[in-house]
Amino acid sequence: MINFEEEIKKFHPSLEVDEAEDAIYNSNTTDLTDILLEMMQETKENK
Amino acid sequence: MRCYKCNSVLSETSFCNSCGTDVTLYKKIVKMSNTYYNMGLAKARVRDLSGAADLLRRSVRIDKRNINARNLLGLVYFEMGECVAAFAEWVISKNIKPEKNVADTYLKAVQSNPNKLNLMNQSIKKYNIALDAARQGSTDMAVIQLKKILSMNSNFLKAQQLLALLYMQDKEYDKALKILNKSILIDVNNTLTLKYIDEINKIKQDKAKAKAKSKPSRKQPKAVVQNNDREELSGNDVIIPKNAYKDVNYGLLTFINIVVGIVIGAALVFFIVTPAKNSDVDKDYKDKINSYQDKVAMLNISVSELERQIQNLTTEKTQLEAALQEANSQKVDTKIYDVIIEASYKYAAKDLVGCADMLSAIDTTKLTTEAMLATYNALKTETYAKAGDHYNNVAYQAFNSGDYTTAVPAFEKAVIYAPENVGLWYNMGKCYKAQNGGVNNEKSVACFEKVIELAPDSEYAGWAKGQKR
Repeated sequence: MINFEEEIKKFHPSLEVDEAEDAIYNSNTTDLTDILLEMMQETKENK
Repeated sequence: MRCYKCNSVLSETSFCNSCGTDVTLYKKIVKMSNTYYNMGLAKARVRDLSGAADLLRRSVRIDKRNINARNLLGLVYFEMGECVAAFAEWVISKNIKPEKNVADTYLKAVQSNPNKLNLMNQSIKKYNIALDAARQGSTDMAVIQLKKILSMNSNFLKAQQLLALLYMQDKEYDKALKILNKSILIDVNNTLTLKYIDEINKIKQDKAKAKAKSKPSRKQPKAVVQNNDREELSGNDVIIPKNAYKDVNYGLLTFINIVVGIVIGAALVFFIVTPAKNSDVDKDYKDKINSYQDKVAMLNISVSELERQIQNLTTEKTQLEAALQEANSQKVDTKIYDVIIEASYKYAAKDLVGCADMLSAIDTTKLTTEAMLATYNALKTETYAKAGDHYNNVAYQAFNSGDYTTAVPAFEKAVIYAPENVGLWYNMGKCYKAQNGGVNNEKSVACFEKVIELAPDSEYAGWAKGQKR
């Protein structure tokens, strides 16, 4: 049986257009390539 | 595929021909990202939007430069009614690749229709209000808002799911199922939608079972025509149909026709004219209710806007007050520099004691510039020892002559200038004691303890212990 109180907690406010700028600035764009580069840099420094 | 360091086109080899960087791992990363993109594209093509969004998010997390994946992710978000998330993806995409990017077309298409954009923003704002209302238990208000949202932005998946949940809460399962069936057309494999549909089906089945148990079967065996008494017909028997002819009673027929006419007329009035009038009245009321609901919704939006403005202004006020307080605390006290300059004049006029007296009154924490602090320290070094000796002599002479009124303040000044002078502390203790009629008090005991603390092995310490008793 679905528990309304629990289900309603799963819904989150949607981003408004005014908040789009923050959403773009705060989006984490670190990808696997960045991590790879960091690891290579660290390996070089340790050598 | 391009090199991540020098951006030159990569060949089949595992090294960049231009800068020589090893790109083996990088190629694997890009391939993995493309694989996720292809899987996401396949899901998007069959309208499994939530599945596609999940895979495309993974794709761009692995390789942020995968423009196709990012643009498609934006498109999927847009289709689900999440226009702001879609804009964010397209803007990032355009930032990574400014030229020849389809994200540019998408953004222009949306921006070229400000009314549509405004409608979307309104629908998102209303969704947030409705969600808030639903959380606070105002489900009626939330349902009204959500219905409006879906009339403005019919693909808003989250709004559809929330409306279905509210209907389910109100036990209006048919309405909920209708909404969910629309929702499943937008996103065919959405787990939340499927979960709700499954739940409704279960509830309906349970109800049907309970109904079947509570009511005994209405189906009765049909009455069998009792023809047992009748003899079986043979092939030679002739079946004569019943004669339906009756004499016509015209008077009765006329009366019946009139009554039927009246009944039909009354029925026409009852079923056609009255409902039309009622529907007009209903329509008026509905229009009024709709207009009031619109006003309420607009007022809610404006109230929330005003509350937000109040919050912002309060925050700004607090920040400004803090800044003002900080500015006041950092305000330079110019009088302190006058004191230092005057002390310098006294030093120049060889009045070392006067100079030390002026310096002792200065709060060094207020000396903000290094030059002033250096001047203060230089003057202090030159004058404090002399001033200490001067006040020591004055105090000692006054003490010997029994003039404790002069001796006590002189001792108190002397220990400011020579705080390490054990003899000075000892004599000041004795002076306090003598002033108190030869009995120790708090001040004299403190002086003797200071002597013991400063020079525990000296003869002064022994004397101080003797005086303390």
